[in-house]
Amino acid sequence: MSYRNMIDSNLRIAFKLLKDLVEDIYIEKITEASFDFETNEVVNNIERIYLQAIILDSSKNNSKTNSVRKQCLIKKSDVGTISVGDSFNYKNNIFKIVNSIKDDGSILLFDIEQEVANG
Amino acid sequence: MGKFLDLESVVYSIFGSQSWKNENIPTYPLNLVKNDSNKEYIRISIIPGSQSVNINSSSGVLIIDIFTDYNIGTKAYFKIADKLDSYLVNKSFFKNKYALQLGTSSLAPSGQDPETRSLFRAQYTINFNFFGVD
Repeated sequence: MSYRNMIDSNLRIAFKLLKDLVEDIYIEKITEASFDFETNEVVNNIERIYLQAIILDSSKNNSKTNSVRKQCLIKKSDVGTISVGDSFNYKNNIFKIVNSIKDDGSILLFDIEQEVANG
Repeated sequence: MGKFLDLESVVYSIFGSQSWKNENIPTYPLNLVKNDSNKEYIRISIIPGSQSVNINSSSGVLIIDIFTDYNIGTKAYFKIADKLDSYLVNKSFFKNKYALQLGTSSLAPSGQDPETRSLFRAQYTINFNFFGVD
């Protein structure tokens, strides 16, 4: 077995061992984005991928809005690549991927953010 | 529509024209995450100002960020700026009951792009007057 396959296999085992700490989510990846200057409309191709994620951290740092930022970890093999601006649906809340995405080849680590209604 | 949407519509119609598309310079508005691998592209910002002759008019500035590959010299962004000049400088555009009048341009290199360090950014600026009637 190659090192890559071994790492991916161990990651799958780790996600199983974490049980309820692993959340079912889906990501909507914008696979193609362009802008039609004739109609003033964004033209997007969106691909929805269901997968599991681990929410590592949650913080509220903004003084003017009730925005929540969470740090997430997912298996790269589940999703391939993601981009800043893609949507992340977690517990029926739609977050946006907002920060730099750390990619070690096997896992993706990134921040998501959204505003919440009542703190 | 309103003044600002109408202004946006007239400006964007320039970049939606077939002749601009034939230039093959990928063009983006603000607030859109680009997800292709083009190393040469432009991003358009419309900055309306406060001076106007009536409530449906405005004057302001069009700022166009020109992105080119890093470490290739200045020719690439000068070339794009010249193309922009040929479409914009001292030109007038009309759409429905609105008129857009563009002035003269300037170009300022901004250096390595702080977000994408493999790109170089130059800023092309041109003043405009936008006239609308009630």
